Formats: sequence, structure tokens, C-alpha cells
Amino acid sequence: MAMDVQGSEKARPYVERAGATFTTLVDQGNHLGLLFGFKAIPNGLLIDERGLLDYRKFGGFDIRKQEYALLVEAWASGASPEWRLERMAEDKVGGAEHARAIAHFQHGLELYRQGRVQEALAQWRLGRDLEPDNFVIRKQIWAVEHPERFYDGDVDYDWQREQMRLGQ
Amino acid sequence: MTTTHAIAIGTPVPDFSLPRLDGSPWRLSELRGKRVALFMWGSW
Repeated sequence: MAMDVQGSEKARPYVERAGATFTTLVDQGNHLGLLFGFKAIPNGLLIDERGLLDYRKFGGFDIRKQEYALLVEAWASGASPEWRLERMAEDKVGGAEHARAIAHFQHGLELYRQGRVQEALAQWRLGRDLEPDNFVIRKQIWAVEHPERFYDGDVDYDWQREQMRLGQ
Repeated sequence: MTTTHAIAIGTPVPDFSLPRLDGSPWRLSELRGKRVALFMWGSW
């Protein structure tokens, strides 16, 4: 998708030079910028069969870089439920409270090793509340509170996605 | 197409249409049932 105000005549030479075999669209009116609220390009969006977003990167998505090429390849060859969950978590990770959240998490791990499970969970919940997007902490809480979703046969990724949506 | 949507992973991508390079119409929702990779770039 060429985000060119000047239209297809500006975009065409690049498409031809790249020998692009995929569909090229032209966004002459910044429609997508308004729709998605991004402020920079290049961008990458990966969308699943149901029309749900699998991945997004607004700004800096250079497909010539190996990390993005590999990411797209992994997705194209069949995104696993785990892959989707990781992207979901990655999309949200970061923030000023990270260090404090990790401190609670580590404290909780220590308590857990001592068999003080409820106290450990309380520490982890403090960490999760400081950094709601920390998937490592969140998943640890889930695994202790809901072992049936993890350790009775297959890991229940549908349940995990539902927890993410519910903000649990 | 004037509303900004905060799209999150796992949520529906809002439908939109744009012309192809040759001017013919294209719409995202017509690709439902297929996986879609969108790359946005500019000549500038």
C-alpha cells in the first residue's frame, strides 16, 4: 500500500523496480493514517482468516530487515496459537513501571519456592497491576490459579486469549 | 472514513477500501477467509 499523496504515478516506479507480484494499493488521502491513527511508516499489519489482527507495527517496519522478514514468514507458514499470544503480549509490553513490576514478580517467585503460594500470588498480582501488559507475570498467575488450563492435556490457548480480553 | 480506531491484536480490523495501482477497486473484507499481510510504505 503506497501512502503517496501524489498518487500512483509516484508509486509505480518503485513497484516495478521491486518486481512486486502482490497487489499494490494507493492511499492518496491518508485514509489509513486516519483509520489506524499511525504517525509514521513503513508499517506492517497481519490479519487472520477471520479478519482479526495478528500483528501490527506502525513505523520502522522494514521488510528488508531479517527480524521482520522472519516474523512474516513464521506467520505465513501458519501462526500457532502460542505465536499469536506472544505477539499480543509483545504489542503491549513496556512502560515505566516495569522495574517495580519485576521486583514484585521476583519476590513472588521467592515466596512460591517457600511454599507460600497465596503470598506469592499477591506479589504477582501487584506486579501485574503495575504492568498489565506483562505476559510473563500474567501467565504465571494463570498457571498457578488455573492449573487445569495448562497441565491437563493441551494448553488451553483459547482460554488464555479470553483472559487477555477480559484483562485478567 | 474519518474515525480513528485503536486496533488491538485479536480484535477485528476495520474494513476499508482503496484503489489498486491500476485504479481498480479493492476492499479488505473481500479477502475474508484468507490471511492478509499489509505493508504500508511511501516513495518519500
